[in-house]
Amino acid sequence: MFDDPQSYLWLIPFLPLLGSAIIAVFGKKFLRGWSHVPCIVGAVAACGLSVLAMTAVQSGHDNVVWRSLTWFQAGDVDVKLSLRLDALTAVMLVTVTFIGSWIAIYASSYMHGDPGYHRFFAAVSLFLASMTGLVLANNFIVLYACWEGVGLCSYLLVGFWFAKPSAAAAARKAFLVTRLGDIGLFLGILILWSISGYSLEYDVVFRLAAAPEHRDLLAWACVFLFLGAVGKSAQFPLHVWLPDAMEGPSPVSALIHAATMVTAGVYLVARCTPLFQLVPDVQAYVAVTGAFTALLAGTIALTQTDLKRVLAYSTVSQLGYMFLALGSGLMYKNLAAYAVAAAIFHLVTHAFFKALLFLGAGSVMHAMGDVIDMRRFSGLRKVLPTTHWTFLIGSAALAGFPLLSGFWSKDEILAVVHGASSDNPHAAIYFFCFLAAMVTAGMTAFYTFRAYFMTFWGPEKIPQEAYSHHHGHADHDDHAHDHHGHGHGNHHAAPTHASAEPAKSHFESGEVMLWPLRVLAVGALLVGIVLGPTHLFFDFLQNHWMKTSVGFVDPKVTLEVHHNIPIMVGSVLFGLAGIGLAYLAYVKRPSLAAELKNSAKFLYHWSLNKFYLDELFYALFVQPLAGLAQMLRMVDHYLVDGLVDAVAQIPVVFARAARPIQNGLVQFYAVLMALGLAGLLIAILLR
Amino acid sequence: MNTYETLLIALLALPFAGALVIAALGPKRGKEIRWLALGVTLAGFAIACLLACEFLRLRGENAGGALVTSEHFFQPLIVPGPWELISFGAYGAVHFYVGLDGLNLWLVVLTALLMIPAVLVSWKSIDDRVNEFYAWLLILGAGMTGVFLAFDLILFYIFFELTLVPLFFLIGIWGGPERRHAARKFFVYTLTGSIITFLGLLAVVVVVADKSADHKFTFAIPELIAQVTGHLRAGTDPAFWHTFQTWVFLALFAGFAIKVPLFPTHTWLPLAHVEAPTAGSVLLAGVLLKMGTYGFLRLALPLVPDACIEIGVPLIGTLAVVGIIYGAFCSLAQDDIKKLIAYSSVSHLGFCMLGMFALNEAGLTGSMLQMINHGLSTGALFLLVGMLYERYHTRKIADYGGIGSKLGLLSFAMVFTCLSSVGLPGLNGFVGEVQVFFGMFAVNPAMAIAATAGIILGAWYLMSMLKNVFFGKLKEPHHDGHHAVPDLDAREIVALAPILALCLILGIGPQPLIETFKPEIQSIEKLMSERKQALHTSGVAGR
Amino acid sequence: MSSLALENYLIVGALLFVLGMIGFLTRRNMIIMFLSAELMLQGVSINLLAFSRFRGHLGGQALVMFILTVAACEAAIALAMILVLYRSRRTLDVSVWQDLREPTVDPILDPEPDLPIAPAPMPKLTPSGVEPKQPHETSHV
Repeated sequence: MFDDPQSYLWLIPFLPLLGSAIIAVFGKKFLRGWSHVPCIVGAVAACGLSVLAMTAVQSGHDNVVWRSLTWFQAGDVDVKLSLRLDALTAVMLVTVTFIGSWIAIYASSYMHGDPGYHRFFAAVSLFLASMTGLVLANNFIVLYACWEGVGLCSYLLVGFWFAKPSAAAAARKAFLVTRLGDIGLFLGILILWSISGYSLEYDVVFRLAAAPEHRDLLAWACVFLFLGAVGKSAQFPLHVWLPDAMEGPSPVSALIHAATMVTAGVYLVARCTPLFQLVPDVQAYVAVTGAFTALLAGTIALTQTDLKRVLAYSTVSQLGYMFLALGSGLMYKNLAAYAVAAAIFHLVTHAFFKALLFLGAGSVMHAMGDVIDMRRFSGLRKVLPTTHWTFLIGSAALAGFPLLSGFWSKDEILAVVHGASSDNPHAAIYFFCFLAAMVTAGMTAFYTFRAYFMTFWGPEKIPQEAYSHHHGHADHDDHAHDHHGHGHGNHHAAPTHASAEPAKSHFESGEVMLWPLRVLAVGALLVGIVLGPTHLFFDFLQNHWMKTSVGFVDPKVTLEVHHNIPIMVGSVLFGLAGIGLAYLAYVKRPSLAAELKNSAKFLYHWSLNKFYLDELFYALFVQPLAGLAQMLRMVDHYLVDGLVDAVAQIPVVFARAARPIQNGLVQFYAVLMALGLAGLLIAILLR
Repeated sequence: MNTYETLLIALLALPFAGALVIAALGPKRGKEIRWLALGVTLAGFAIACLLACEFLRLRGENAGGALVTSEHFFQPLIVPGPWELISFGAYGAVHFYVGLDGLNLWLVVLTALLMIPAVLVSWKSIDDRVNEFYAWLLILGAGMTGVFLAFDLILFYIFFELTLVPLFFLIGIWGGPERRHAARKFFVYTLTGSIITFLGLLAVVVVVADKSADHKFTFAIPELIAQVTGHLRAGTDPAFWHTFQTWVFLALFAGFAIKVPLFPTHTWLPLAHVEAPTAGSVLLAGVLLKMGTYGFLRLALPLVPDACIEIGVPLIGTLAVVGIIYGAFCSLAQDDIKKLIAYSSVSHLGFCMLGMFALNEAGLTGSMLQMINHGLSTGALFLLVGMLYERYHTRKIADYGGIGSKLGLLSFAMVFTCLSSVGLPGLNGFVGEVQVFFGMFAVNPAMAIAATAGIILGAWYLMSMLKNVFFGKLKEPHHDGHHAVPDLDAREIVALAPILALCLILGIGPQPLIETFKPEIQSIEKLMSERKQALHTSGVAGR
Repeated sequence: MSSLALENYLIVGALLFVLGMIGFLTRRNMIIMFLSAELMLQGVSINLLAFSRFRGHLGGQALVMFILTVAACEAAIALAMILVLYRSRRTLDVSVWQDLREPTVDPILDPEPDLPIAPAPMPKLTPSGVEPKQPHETSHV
């Protein structure tokens, strides 16, 4: 049965879905502490099948479409639950399920003892099902459904500790902001549906929507599709939800908000390359959004003191990179295929090292008693040895340290953008994007290593919470701890007198948490060098997706831009400069950080406060709309309902005129009767 | 009369009989009354299910093929009788003409289903005049079923108005502090509209009789539609038919739009909802409002197609879009949970009307699905709010906080229902909404685009409500009794579980449902496109 | 059939009816009003009888029998009601009863005082038992 991917393709989303259903039904009563088992089993099985699918793609099953039942059909709306398999899907599948499996394993220890243990794994499993469904979908509605599905899981998991007001608020914000983008995606789908002869299948849409007479509408459709991607992948201006989403448990941040879900937008734009490459203006818009977001988020990340937020802004920034690459995929420069491959390549490597970094941050947080403010701990490299070296690898990969995975993929992107910044109407724009990308590369290295040095170097400082976690909490640690002992299983032996120095090794997380770190660290080290310079990745995508996909214009790329040595050297220099500066400011001469801060006070404050974008959007959109709502409520009460009541007064006015007749006097009534009778008689007589 | 025809009669007669017995039992025997009412509603649901199975079997036999030809409108399948009710001798007669077809089947089942939780949720909360309460409740159920089942205009109207009386008493006696005002407003407002509707319906009957060869009054809906369609096709006296349709459409609009309710005739709804007892709210939102949309679908579209195309589409489309956005904004600003959900009904039924007046198959199908979806999810929302109210005796959002950590099951059900209501894929709301949007986008993209605002606004107010009431720091309102407030008990779970299960099932596999009403929807769509074509050519000729 | 023409009967009937009507409209004593109403009924009855005889058809007479029966029932009920009304306000004046008017309409009051008639004292029976001592009366006659 494993020869033909058709026979098992549907199992890839189905197994995690089944796992989720099992946990949801039996988790609370029966599985309890074993709730992670169905999730991990489902994820690992899906991972195995994904690898199998990848080999099948490699062996030529590269345009497999699995059609199943009709989901719903009425008139021109015909939605089939169909799945497709090609190289892009296979790459996404393997990335998602592989990282998902390891994160699930990590979480089984991290979330140990949490009262919502089963809830957590049910949602994670559901997420894996939705995410694999998203990349497997063969039509836009199934894609949209899974798109919303991953949004739901994100909502449920960000708000996992819902008793915490900040988590509840973050969950709502995440849901609403991404839903704003989802509307865009939906509108895009609507337009595509209407210009492609009422079809929703990728192949048909790519073929028919590309007709020249629809170019204007197609441009709009692409803008709207990209708006969906902007929401989901946290690009400016809808990036504001992602940093807040760090309220969720760290494995969630690693899985959903770093490695997989947020890349759905990148996947979408990559999948729709056959459409995007036809509208260069929209591509320029994509690129500018990507570059601007990369720069903006990088700038904000420079000054954040919350370890997870640094990583979150870094994620936003790196996603910006990917969009920059996608936007640079200009058809007439023969860049489309190369650009998309670069973006997807960065997506994969980023998934590895960013998941690693988040899991490392989770491990730190776990050891430090849920403290994540970098100012409150330092010098942990002896205390958390394994976490330290894995985090170092992740940081180096993110910073683009030569030969590590981030280096290869980032270079591809820079090369693509550079390639796009000449000989086209938008060349100037692309050139600025290129500059922004270079600056961002330096900043990335700086803030990554700033976080690394602040956490693992300097004098050893361990916050109080790490010792006495479940007695009282620090003032500003507002975790609502009715989820008692969320993942502090191994601190129960902490000495009761807080001053006592516990054994150093005591802080390090358990092996179940460390193994995923090691595995991902190996990935962060090797994925780039194995797949990048060897052209394995590019050839795979090109041969088994771009050449076989409908509407891909000229996939036979000349990779002349490949490995542009000056750019490579330049970006490495930028990166090393960033690392060096971080080392200077946070290890060698800690006073330098303060000096830097003082010398650029204005910029520092804007960066620290995230350029006041949250406040701006609140004042610009949320507040006026809420005001409008209040106003409409008043309008409804006084005007609309008042009008109704006014209409109801009309009969009352007439009644008032007729009222005196009803005087209750019998004889008056009798007179009226008599007069009436008389009138009647006269009328009859005179007729 | 075969078994199923008898069952159909029983579906209508059983609640009446039950109501009589319950009323006669007297207010003291609460326990017997409740169990009897539950038994009656359960039996009703069982009968409805049996009928649905039989209907599907019959449909399967003739494969619905005959219906697609638009000469045959709405041929009901299980028809007892029809017996003469009021005879005008040689001038025709009003018949007791009821039956099942694709349009009403699921609404009947929905009514029968929602009656069960309506009885269950009142189990403890209604202590006063128990017998009257349950008697009125059962009569309300019978009336609503009758509206959907009726295939005779007069019978339809009788049932349509019959539903007002029980609900008037349910709100006026067992309602909240402003119950009298609410009950009166509800009654007078909807009655005013439906009287005008009745005039419109009578006008159709009279005109059709006048134009027919034997001058006989026909009250049977399929027959009327066939005759009107015939006249329209013949194309004689177009000026007369144009004026006639315009006026009849406006008359029908008056009653049905108030019932739906379409903006700006919605103001009775929040008031009635807030004051009504939970069971009343559930049935009001779940079923009663569908009588308006159903009226449009069953009567307005086929009887006055030209007016629907010419006036209905711009008028109702605009009102629906305004209602979607306006209702959502009003919802957002409410501080009372029940009022919030009441306004969300205005918004959701806007989607329903928007899809219907796309006048194509996708839109009509989406509209039908939205009727059922809204019945399920909003019904469940009102049930849940009622359960919350029963525990804490307040509905102010500000009084609550973090209830999720106290009442796990209730909160789960609430989150689930809200997600269904915001149209999350995999749950029922999504399928209907998608079809409404696609249907509308194909004919009028601007309206569809404007209506998408409802998607985000809908998520906004429901998610805010969830956040403020169920998440965050625990803040319980003052409640009497010293023991902890209990989570859902078995009775409440039984009341909710079927609805939630259906939400999931309809989200995953809606196609069987769609197939059921496809023949009717297609025949309406066919008529509409035919009339559109005719109007177009006559318009061109006129110019 | 006697020599009296139909008109004669009709005139009597009409007179009775008009008298009754005038009585009903002008008198305020409920019993008189009731009697006036009866008078109108009798006027109608005479009409019916006359026509019945004139046309040789028994329908009119049958109807009159009904009127008589109904009038009898009516008398019983009306008098009972009048009694009840009298008991509550101690008067037979019909204008005292204006309670069914609209709340905002003022009651119609006659200019002349129309006080309720003080009820005549009920006759007292002599108490039973030993005869009380009578004061001695001396006759001055």
